Amino acid sequence: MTRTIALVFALGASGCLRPTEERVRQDLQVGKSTFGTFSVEVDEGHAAVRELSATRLALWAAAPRFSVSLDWQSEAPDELSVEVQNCMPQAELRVDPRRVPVISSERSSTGACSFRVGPIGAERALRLLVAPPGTEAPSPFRFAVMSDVQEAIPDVQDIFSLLNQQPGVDFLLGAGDLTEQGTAPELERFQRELEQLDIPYYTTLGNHELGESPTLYQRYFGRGSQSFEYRGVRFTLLDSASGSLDPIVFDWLDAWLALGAGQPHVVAMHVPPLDPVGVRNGGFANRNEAALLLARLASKGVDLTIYGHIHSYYHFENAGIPAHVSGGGGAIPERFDDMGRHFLLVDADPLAERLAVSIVRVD
Amino acid sequence: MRARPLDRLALDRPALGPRASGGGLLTGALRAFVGLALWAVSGLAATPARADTSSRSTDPAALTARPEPRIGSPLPEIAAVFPGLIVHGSGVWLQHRNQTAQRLLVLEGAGLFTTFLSGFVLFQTGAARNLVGPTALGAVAGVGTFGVSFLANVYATWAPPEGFGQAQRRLPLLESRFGYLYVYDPQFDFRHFVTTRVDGRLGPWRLGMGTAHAPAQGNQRLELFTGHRFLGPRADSTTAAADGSYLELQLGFSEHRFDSSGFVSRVVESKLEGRVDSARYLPDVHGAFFQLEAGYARQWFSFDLPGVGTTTATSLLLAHMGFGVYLGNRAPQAAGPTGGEVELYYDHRHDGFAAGLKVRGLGSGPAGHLGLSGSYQFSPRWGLRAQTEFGSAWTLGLSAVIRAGVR
Repeated sequence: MTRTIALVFALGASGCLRPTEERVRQDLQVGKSTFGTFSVEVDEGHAAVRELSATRLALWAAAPRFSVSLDWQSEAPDELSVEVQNCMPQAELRVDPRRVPVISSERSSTGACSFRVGPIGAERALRLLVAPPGTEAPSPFRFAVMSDVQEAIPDVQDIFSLLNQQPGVDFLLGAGDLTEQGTAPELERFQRELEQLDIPYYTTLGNHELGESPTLYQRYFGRGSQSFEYRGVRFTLLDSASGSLDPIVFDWLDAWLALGAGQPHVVAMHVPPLDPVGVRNGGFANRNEAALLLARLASKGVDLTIYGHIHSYYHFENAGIPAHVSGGGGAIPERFDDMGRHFLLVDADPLAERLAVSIVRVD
Repeated sequence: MRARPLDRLALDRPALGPRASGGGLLTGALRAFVGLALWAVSGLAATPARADTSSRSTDPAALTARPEPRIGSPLPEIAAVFPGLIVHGSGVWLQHRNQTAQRLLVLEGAGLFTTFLSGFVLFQTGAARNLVGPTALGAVAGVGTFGVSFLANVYATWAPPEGFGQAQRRLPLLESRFGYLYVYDPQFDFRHFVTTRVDGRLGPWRLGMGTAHAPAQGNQRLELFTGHRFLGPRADSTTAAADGSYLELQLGFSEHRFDSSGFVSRVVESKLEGRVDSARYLPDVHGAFFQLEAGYARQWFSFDLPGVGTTTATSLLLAHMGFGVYLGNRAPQAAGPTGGEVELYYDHRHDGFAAGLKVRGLGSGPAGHLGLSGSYQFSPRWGLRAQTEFGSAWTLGLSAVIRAGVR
């Protein structure tokens, strides 16, 4: 009887005890869509399907390299147009089977890549790989980090223009709070602003993306939690926007940590497990959960953790892992810290197993 | 029920009228802030003589004497909830208890003022690292004051004049507990704990320990604490305290082992814990109390996993605000005291089992957890204690209480 009562209470309470569960379920739907008998599935949700018709597929890339499975239950069209927004410069499209050619390939000034594939002929299934060439093997590269723009979207071009001047940056990594309330107009506005950025932007969400709908973000930017590999470095983005990870994400994380074993591994999320200023508690709601996560990351050799949420810059160690809080995207800044807007540059050398972080001030 | 014309109602509330209408926002805010300070000072530092007159009165007529209500039951009881949620003291004002209504309103104002002031500072400074500790404490105090003020407003309206019980005015030398704790935390597999606690007192001093042990689930928690009571009931005093109000400085250490997860949490804490019986601030509200706590803790996480042996240090803001009700007659008798108390509270702790609240919207993380605790001594020696907390986890505990050295 006691167990039954406890179970009933536990189930009732679980709605508030797992505030991210709905988003996790939505993560699983990212990259999947159907149009009649035409179905699309992006591997690991590495891109969000923005538009699908019989002859056109539009995607928002959430990772530098990704694969897409296309299936037709009935006859496929003669040609298919594939548009990839937030595309890596130099990205190419490869089609499997190779007998289906890529007719045209171009990149617009807004960072979108457009491809035409065909004739598809009698094929009922295709695999597409969108990736810049030579990025499978480990090689040194540079990426940037910026978080917490919120209400400062109108001023974000100050940061983007400075980012565009930085040499050799392959992409911008975000740790959430792109917008103030996560409304559709704000998310669309941010994507329009990104058209002025020369490099793609891969991010997770922050608590400020939860203002209107918990799952609206995913329609625009893709999964909240995901992992990808680029030039021999593994990147894992986690949805900690509610000051917690869902238990399902912990399961995914185990798999991603295993994939990242033996290579440099960067983990980014919005709310840090532990706020470097403990009494503020801008970290996880549950310190035990924070330690549980850090123990997993440390035991699997994660090399760098990147957080947002706190509108300043902090460098510290959590569970022995170097940690950088960078919330300098323009949201109301932490005062008296002499910091202001900023972003980070990370020079990654997977061959030397080195990740060097430097800070670039915008103001 | 007698119908009362509106002009008569206005005349019947001299204590509220001129003050409530006079002054601007700033004046009101200052008055509210002063009210909060006065509340704390008057509660914790009230002289025993005053306490005697306010809460130790055993004259039933003095306790139950109340003015003719403006309007009969159940409207005051309803008004205590709404509009009492917005205007604290609405219910007791309808019961014609003007001073109580005024003081509840001041308490509410103090809570709101402190909340908005803290929120303003947090917003303007971006929760700056050097200011956030006291400012966050102010925010917790403000929201907590608003909350306990509302609960006091409901209790003051609903409860009988003498309350439901009296405070325990003399403590046992030794109290031990043995019980069970259920914990539902979606992040961890542990669920069932055996709990023990021993709490000994000698004069103003206190020394105790508590444990929670999940035998098959790799989780153990140990707490050690000591305290010095400056004011209030003690274990060995020859005379009983004036009421249940007290002030105690506590030092504590806890070790929480998550062996199956590869880490240990250790916390060293210092806090000031106090209780103010309701009658010290609301003279005609008996049998209830305000519970307060503020402190600071350092926390160390030690990670012990293959290839990992490191410690991460952080800090904790400790704050607790609750409103409680005494149950039963705990006045010293030949056979010793019986009775108990229940408390509804907010606790800002983010460690322990319950930790902080998670919410679906923007604000998950900074808040602590909510709790409800209750204890009752069926005899001077034997009792029961139950507690439930809701934060990142949901807990439910039940334990037997055994007391020794009861006067």
